[in-house]
Amino acid sequence: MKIIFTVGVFFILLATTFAQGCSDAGFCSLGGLKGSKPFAVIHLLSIGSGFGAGEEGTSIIQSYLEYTYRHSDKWSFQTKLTSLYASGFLGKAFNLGDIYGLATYSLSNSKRNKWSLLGGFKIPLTASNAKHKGRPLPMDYQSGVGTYDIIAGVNYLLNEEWEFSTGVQIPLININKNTFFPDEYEDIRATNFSPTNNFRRNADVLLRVGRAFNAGNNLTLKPSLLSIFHVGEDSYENRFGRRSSIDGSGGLTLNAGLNVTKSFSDGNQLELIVASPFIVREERPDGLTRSFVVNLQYSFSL
Amino acid sequence: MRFIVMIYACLLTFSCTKKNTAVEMLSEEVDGAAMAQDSGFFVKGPYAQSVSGKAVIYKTGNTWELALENFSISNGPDLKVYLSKAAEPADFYNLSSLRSVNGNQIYRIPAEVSIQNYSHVLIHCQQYDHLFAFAALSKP
Repeated sequence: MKIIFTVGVFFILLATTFAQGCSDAGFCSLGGLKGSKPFAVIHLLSIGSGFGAGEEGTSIIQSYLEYTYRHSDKWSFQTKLTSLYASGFLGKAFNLGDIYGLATYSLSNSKRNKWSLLGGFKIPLTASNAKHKGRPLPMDYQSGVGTYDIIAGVNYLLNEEWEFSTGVQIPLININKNTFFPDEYEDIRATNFSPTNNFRRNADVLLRVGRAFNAGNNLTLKPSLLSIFHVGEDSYENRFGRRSSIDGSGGLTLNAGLNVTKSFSDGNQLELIVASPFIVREERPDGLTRSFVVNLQYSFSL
Repeated sequence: MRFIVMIYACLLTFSCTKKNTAVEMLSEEVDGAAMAQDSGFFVKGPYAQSVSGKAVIYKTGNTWELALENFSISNGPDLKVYLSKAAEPADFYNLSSLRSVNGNQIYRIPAEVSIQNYSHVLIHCQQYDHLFAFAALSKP
């Protein structure tokens, strides 16, 4: 209980101290890159919903449906469908987000020490051009960044306690058709969103380190550090139709996170994730910035 | 597995819903001291069902504005107002999202734009690259 209290206070302080952060283009919350507790059942269906505080008071609720199939001790497959509802002073929008697919191959059968390789993809379901009353909305209100991505990663479990993950998410095909220019709004707060007309986003590299603690009663706590390095600067098309880089949009985001997992005897799991950043990129035009994220997921063993 | 595929298929279908431009009747007016410069009537492009009205460039002191007068156009999902050097969006300035498909509306032309370089006003669906209408500007 003391651990839970201490960690809880730590995260509340983080959330109130730092302004911007978690910059997840998707792979941070996928399979072995997510840092969740491993499961033993063959079919697992998960539903989850998370709240995030975005730029300029934008409230973002992301929900998802996830199905995982453990084919063998070595192979497992996962697919995930996301949606996003955003609400703020520019309006509100709801859309489906992306479909993910991920395959995981474990190099050993050991439960205590295990290397796993991950490979997958992301398919966008929108062109990131949601509008409110006919007016283009910034990327913070969009349900995805509008890119077909490939995802690759490595996960290492040490002594069934420490977990190290690294991964890369690379946009291959852009279908982003966002047309947001902040100067089309009278509200001066709109200028805090970067112009993202025909936005193009670069790749991310992830590194996560986590440590699992058994708190008894089938409760597991896993604090983790998550770094996301955004490789290069993003760009948009200016009003003359020429591509312009967005200065400061590349670089490092460093987050602290905590996974709390309650396992039930029937194989089901309840998982709570809280995360907040303490190092951020100067500009975050992709709309993936959250000052604080809380996510609740329930997994059914089928 | 079939259940998951069905869910994805349904959601993909609904995700293709298109959002249109606003339809409210606008009645914006230029400043009384504004002087009309070049103008031209809109002509239907390949993707509009109908268009009517006139594009007029106004000058007030050192500021320039584009007025769409008695304007009406069939709706589209991502309509923009372009100043263009031709009757197609090849070399253009993306002035703004079209605020409505109906009524009189005024768009400020920034100082960075040399208005004399542009010969046409386009109504263009940017997302799907569909030309809806154009007006060739000429002296009164």
